[in-house]
Amino acid sequence: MLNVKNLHASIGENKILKGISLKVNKGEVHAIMGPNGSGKSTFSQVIAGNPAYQVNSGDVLYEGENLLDMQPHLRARAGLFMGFQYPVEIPGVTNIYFLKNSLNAIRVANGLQPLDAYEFNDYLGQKMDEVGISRELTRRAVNSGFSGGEKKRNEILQLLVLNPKLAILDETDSGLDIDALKTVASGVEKFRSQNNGVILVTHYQRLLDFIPPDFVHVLIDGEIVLSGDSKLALELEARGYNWVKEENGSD
Amino acid sequence: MINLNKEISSVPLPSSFNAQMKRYREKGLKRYSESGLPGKKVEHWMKFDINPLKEIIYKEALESIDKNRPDLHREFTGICERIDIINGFIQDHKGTGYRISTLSSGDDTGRIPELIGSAGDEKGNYFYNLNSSLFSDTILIRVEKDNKKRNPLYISQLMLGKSEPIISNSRIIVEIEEGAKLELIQSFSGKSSSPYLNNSVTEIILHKNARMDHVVLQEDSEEAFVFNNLFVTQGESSEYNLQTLNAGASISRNEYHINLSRKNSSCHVTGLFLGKKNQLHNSDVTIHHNAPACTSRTTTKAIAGGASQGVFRGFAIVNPGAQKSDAIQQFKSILLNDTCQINMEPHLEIWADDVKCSHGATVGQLDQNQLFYLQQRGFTPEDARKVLLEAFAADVAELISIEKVNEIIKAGIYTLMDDLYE
Ligand SMILES: Nc1ncnc2c1ncn2[C@@H]1O[C@H](COP(=O)(O)OP(=O)(O)OP(=O)(O)O)[C@@H](O)[C@H]1O
Ligand SMILES: [Mg+2]
Repeated sequence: MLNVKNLHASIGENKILKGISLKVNKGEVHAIMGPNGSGKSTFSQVIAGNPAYQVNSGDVLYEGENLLDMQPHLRARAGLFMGFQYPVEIPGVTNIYFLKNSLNAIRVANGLQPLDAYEFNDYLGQKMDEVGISRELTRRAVNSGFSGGEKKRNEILQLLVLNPKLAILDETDSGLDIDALKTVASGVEKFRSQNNGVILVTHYQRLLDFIPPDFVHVLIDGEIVLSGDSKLALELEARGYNWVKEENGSD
Repeated sequence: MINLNKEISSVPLPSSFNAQMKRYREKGLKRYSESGLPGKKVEHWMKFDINPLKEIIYKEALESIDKNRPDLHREFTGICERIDIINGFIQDHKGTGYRISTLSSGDDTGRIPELIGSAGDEKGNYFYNLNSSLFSDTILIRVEKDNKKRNPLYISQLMLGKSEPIISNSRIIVEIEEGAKLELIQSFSGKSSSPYLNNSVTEIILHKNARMDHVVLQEDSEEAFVFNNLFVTQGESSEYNLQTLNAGASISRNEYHINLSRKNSSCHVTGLFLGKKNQLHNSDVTIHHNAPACTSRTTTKAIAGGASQGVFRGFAIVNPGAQKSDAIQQFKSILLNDTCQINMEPHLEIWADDVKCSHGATVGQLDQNQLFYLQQRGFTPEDARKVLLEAFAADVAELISIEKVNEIIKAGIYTLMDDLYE
């Protein structure tokens, strides 16, 4: 469903992504791991279409379409979801308003009827129970004053409510206590199916214990230097990244 | 003919003015002949260029009986009691259920001459002086404490001109007796093929324990110059809430003076400016803390688009003896492009030692991260902007304190915001 070919991207003068190729098929879970500053969030943001980043070269096909030509909201409406490493606070906009309008925008774009307030409430209630989010949190402004863990749970709630085709989760497991990690993991597990793809950006094996990935990629200095199966993640956990750099580094 | 650059002398005194009123107007004339209108070099007027309105020769407006006049807030019919002031002429004021009198109709019992200028006369300047030398009628609304339930009062100040520029100087006095309450909505609007100057003065006197909720909607036409001079003086434990919307006119200015003259009184002044095209706006809000334990809140929000310009100043003056004063001023603005301009200047002047005062001002653009987050969740770029602007304006739009009209005004504000991007 996603085919990234030799993608180069930069922020301002800084070249961050230096030729990334990655193919994700339906039903697959890919983990992307790598040291701080290696370009994992940049990759996620570029796929989601953040205009702060410039694509210098390369191609990205999403369900056969040229993703780089699509505006961010059209990517979202076509089923692409990104869980933000740093979910954005939007004071003055309630979470429930945000979720309802988001869901309905995507539904309508896909030829479905929008949900009315009652239908939406029922639907949301169900999803909230699944992620263990209190009703109170949905009445507050989007991520505003949420704790780090609450923000991440809120990303997972959005994932379940919007039920996209491809989810890129940028460190949704960072900064969580053990219980929250379990809810986030079980949220992702619920979402995962034969019909959709998942890219998990993570630093830790503990998320991958819950959600065994089909592929693990190591991103260093803007390049995927090594790919493997779930065993690679265990090896990284044990040995760090230096050996990968030494054995596979471009310089 | 009125040339604002020259001395004004030829305007005849209305026959309804008694000796007291005559003296008051003569005082106004004298002051105006000394002050004139400010030039570009006068402090506080440098960033607010009123030359376009000074260059025009105005005719004193005539009473207009245009039956097809635009009806700005038709939706208020049935939920508000309404009085129209057209070109400065006060229309029928009977049958509202309020105790209302005017000089021209002869039903005032002498209260108008007693009250005029008493809410802060010495604090006004320039446009206030101009009004005081030219006004030809005055309306007084007096509210006493009784248990009658009344609809909010709506005063529509309408200007209807033709090919000649006109000027009007309306004068409104509101007196709220001890323990009484008033909900007042005031609007400025008009229609004309030439420029017009609506220079209005409202004086409000709140006695002990009185409360007033006041909404001012300035949605005037592109031809308009609107000056709203407001003076409020507050008695002990009184409460005054003002919410203003400034969305129209080519040049507009609010000058507010609120005098917290007795202990435990409080005021909340909230303003929203929506600027577009070449609009020029200035709001100066001065809160005079003249007694102990009074509270003031000034919140100003501005969204500027087009090539609009806004200058916003807040002055909290805590005079000696006003201990335990609590004054907060907050200014926030969003610029939608780089041709518009906003200046926000909070000022504190504190002459007492035991006070709690603070202020803050921010000028910024819509947050790119927020815009992107919304778009990643399926909002179009336009909807994302709209959601953020509405959230920004929510302090004003969502919190209109006059319950009967708040939904209508909120919807109106959000509609006006839709044309900020053109
Ligand atoms: N707005 C920006 N301006 C300049 N440089 C930036 C900006 N955002 C990111 N960078 C740089 O781009 C590089 C890649 O950052 P990115 O956030 O993609 O890393 P990451 O792999 O997600 O790291 P982490 O594991 O810490 O989240 C870093 O060197 C970072 O400093
Ligand atoms: Mg990152």
